[in-house]
Amino acid sequence: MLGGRDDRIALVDAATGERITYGALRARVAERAVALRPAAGPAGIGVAFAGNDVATIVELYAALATGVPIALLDRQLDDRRARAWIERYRPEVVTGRAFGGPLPRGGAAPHRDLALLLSTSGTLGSPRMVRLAGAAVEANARAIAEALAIGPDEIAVTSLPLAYAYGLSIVTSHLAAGATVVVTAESVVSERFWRACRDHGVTSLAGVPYTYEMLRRVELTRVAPPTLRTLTQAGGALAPAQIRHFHAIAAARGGGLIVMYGQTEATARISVLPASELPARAGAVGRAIPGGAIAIAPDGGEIVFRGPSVMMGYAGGRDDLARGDELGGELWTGDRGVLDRDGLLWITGRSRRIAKVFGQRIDLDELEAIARALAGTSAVAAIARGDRVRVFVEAGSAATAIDTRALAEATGLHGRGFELVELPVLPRLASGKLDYQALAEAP
Amino acid sequence: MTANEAKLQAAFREALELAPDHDVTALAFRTIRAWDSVGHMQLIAAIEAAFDLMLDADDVLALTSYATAREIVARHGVAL
Repeated sequence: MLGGRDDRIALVDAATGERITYGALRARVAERAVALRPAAGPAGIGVAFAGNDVATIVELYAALATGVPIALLDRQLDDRRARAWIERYRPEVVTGRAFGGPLPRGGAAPHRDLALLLSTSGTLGSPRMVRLAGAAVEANARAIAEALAIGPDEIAVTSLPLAYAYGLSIVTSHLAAGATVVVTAESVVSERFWRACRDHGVTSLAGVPYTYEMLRRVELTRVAPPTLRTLTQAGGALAPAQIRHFHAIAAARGGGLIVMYGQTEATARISVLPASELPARAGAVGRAIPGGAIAIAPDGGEIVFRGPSVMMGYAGGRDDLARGDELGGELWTGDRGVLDRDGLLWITGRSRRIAKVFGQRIDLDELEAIARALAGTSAVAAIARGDRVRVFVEAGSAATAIDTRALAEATGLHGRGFELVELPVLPRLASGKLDYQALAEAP
Repeated sequence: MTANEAKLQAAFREALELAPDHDVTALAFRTIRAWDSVGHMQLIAAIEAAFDLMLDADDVLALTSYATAREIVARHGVAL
């Protein structure tokens, strides 16, 4: 998993300027591993409240090295959700966050293949986790390194949260390839982020669509160092005009924009569109990563991915960690797509009700449950609208303690990501189910 | 406090979803949870709307506190 020669630089800590060689990183990982195994016990698990820092990366690799399954949760998760997660999974080792008082710990022994637990809902803090085998994590890291032709001279930067599959894969793919990762908790709207990129000669930058919105605003060509020539994009559809815009910027520097499609359920990435296909194929998400295969189900058009990076299954709590592989390397993605005559995948629809609020994934069904609790009525519906969510509430509902601020507080998202609409009565189908089509057309 | 200063403070409160009596004059980027990168973009938009101006890329990066926000809007000709 750590592919560099001992004397090469693995990590640069942007906060301190410290340059950590692969040799030094291996030593730190080994040292932590020695403490982690006895702390976890023979059948324990760990959780790391992940920040974009060196300690989180050491914790992850130490866990992978010793075979202690580790869950990554965002350090920004609020206290209530963090505790609720811990009550369900009872981890033996908790790092990256301090809790007052003892925590519930100990439970079912995890399956021997289990290595990593990632959340799919991110900030909503749903307890549902994706179970990944160590072999899947390694296969995906190597496949990405190969598809992106990451060589030892590449220098990436942690532009996305490490608890997020795509953000994590920046680290795992570059370290598998013996390349360098600049570790920073700063964001692309911060001058400090760009200073780190300049000081350490960053060559590639990864972003979700919202990152690219911010990059437009700060004018990438003005802030980026001349070394930056590769851009990667995943985590939702970027408009074709934006794809062409950013590809042109990267191409002028001798590189390009690489568009990808992925899911946490497949460790991170499923397909890659080589920059050479742009700008002609703007909107496509490319071909399966090496070792993987994409098929379209004849009935319904669902994208089916097969490969070594497919998850073992989901977990809802500690007992589920004992379960083995339930998917056999085949993932029904829930998304629909078509393959063109050159074998390029185009996404045509997402059947899961997932919205993006300012670049963050949120499950609309989970959001409805939260809004129902706040509104004190079940007559609530949530739909995606641009990069916001419209929440419909039937007027005259009982004690409506619901407003955008309450929603923001309950979800940990920005209140401006929500629009509340009161309707006298919510449109319903004959079956009594909410008519989402009519709601989507509401003014 | 001038009307423009009150307007600037209102823009901060609106963009960062703070209570009407929240003192914003000591705020800085990432010192409160709401002022993360998403909040930052909201704040930029709110200031632009409040004073009907266009902030450039340097402004977006330089606006890291209430104090720098004051300087930036002043540079755009807003009397505070």
